[in-house]
Amino acid sequence: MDKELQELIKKLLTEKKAEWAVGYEKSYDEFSTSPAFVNDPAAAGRLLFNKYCINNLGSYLNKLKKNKVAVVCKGCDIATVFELIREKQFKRENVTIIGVACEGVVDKRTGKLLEKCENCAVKQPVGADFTLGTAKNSPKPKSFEDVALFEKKSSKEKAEFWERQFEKCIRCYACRNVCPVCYCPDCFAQRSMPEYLSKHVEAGENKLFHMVRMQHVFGRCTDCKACDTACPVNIPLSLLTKKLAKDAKELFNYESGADTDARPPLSTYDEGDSESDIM
Amino acid sequence: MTYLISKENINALLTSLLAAKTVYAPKKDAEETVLFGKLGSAAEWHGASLLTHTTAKDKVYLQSESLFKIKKGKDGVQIEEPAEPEEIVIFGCRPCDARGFDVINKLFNWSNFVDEYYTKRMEKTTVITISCEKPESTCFCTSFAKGGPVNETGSDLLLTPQKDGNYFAEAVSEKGKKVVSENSKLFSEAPVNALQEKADFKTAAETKIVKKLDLAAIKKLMEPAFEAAYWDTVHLPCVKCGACTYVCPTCYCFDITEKAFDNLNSERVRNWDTCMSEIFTRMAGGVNPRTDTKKRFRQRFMHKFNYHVDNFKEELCTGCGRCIKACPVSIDIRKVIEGIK
Repeated sequence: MDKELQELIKKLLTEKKAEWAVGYEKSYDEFSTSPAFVNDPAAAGRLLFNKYCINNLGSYLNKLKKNKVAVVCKGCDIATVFELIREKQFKRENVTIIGVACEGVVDKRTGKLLEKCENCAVKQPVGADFTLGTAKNSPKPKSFEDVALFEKKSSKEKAEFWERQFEKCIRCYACRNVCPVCYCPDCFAQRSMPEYLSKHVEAGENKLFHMVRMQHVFGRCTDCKACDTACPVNIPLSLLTKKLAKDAKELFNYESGADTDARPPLSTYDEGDSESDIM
Repeated sequence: MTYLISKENINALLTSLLAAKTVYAPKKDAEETVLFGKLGSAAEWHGASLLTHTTAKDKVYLQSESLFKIKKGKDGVQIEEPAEPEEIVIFGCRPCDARGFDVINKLFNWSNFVDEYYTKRMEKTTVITISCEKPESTCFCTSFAKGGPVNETGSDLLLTPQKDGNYFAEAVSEKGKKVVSENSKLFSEAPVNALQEKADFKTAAETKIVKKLDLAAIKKLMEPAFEAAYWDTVHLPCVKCGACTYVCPTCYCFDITEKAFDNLNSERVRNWDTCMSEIFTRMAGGVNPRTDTKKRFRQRFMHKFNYHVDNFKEELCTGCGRCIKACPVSIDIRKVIEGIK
């Protein structure tokens, strides 16, 4: 697929269909890749796609919104691009989506297939401008079993679990900075006047940061796992983002990134809305 | 001063240290995160030199350090000094971590200035290092004059595993000698072949380190390359989080803030800060000399391999490779500085 991908990007750049192409290239060893930014057709040979291409490149579109960009997307990453278009962050016509068939990606830290890849319905990408390769979608739908199991725990157990996680947090903000929908130029976590969040790094403050971020991305988060895999101390943020996806689905029958014209649940009102999320 | 300590006696040594001090050693949790955690008993030590996700730096240079508390009462304002630091032992760190202390000790004791918060803690810290048997693909400690898998810089006691499972122990400092003298029953005379075994261990470990940089040559290129077009594109993948700086054994930048609990009680806290953050250089009034993400990205490399070398004659890096591993987009510090032309 690499050859095909390189040729396509070379063509798009040469024909000026895109000023920048964002793809993947090899990083420090055979288990790691980095996002690659290419604007010279002759440099397209650096690009590749393999099971270590874990990053969601959709998040870079916010940075290059003034340019025409070609972006390499796994099926799941396309949801991010659509969500950002829905949020009017850039125009659909400025983005060329190169969908790559994907058999799942592996976390470089654990060597394990990501949980989201197990029951993936978009191994074969949908909605791309160009699609490379073929893959067979999982017949089973996305499972929320792990979240349902966690929900059954007592409040005390849940509190203890998250207390332990947030004690580990070093507030490096990797989770926020890789998040495609966390693009506020002035994040509440960094405001000093007024100071919403103390710079003091301790479990309570860290928890406040994560909980507010989760609230902010509800109905927008596509559960892409970028935050989870970015965490340098392995906090399972995926459990929270998956809970968001589950709630959006169960309470509002809504799925982020599915429709570029949709209104997200928290910015619309319907008399029939569930009120079970109101504490 | 060289000795031998058996595998069994390592546990006895830990038990003895635990009786008097708080001991931090690499501990793995349910999420497979390896961090320096408080040991409850000798049995909790996993028994190998693991590369922790974050460094031991945060045990001496706290991520959030209370400088003092302020209390307003009927008798006016009272300032409460922080408690005296306790005696701690950092056990089983790698030589790259131990050397990190050696690098920042100089910074926190620069010329006539002594940072008392850090220095007081460091004085009460004993660093017991285990030579590194398993360098990873991200490691490059041998690029540094004082680096290497069996290097003793920054350690008080260095333990190098031997083929028979015992450890060759070298007391490097007074604190290290004290550990040995207080536990003299656990140490025996080093066998004659111990130094040869250490040399073999060193060779075996060093062959696993795939990259060696010519840092002197890179240093010469850095200043003239400040305005180079190279920086315009190399920073693009960087997401500007602070993971690289917070897992670094040598990054030391901080910010001082007030934390108010209520109208009567507050605290002044020193927190780690990161040059990757936009507000790092934002001044009162809003002027920011490093608004551009390119400038912030460049700063990290310039500081580590250029400015710090000018001031301290050594790099602000130990080659532990944690920044490469922790980077969410796998940016390789070695590649970045090697790419400077």
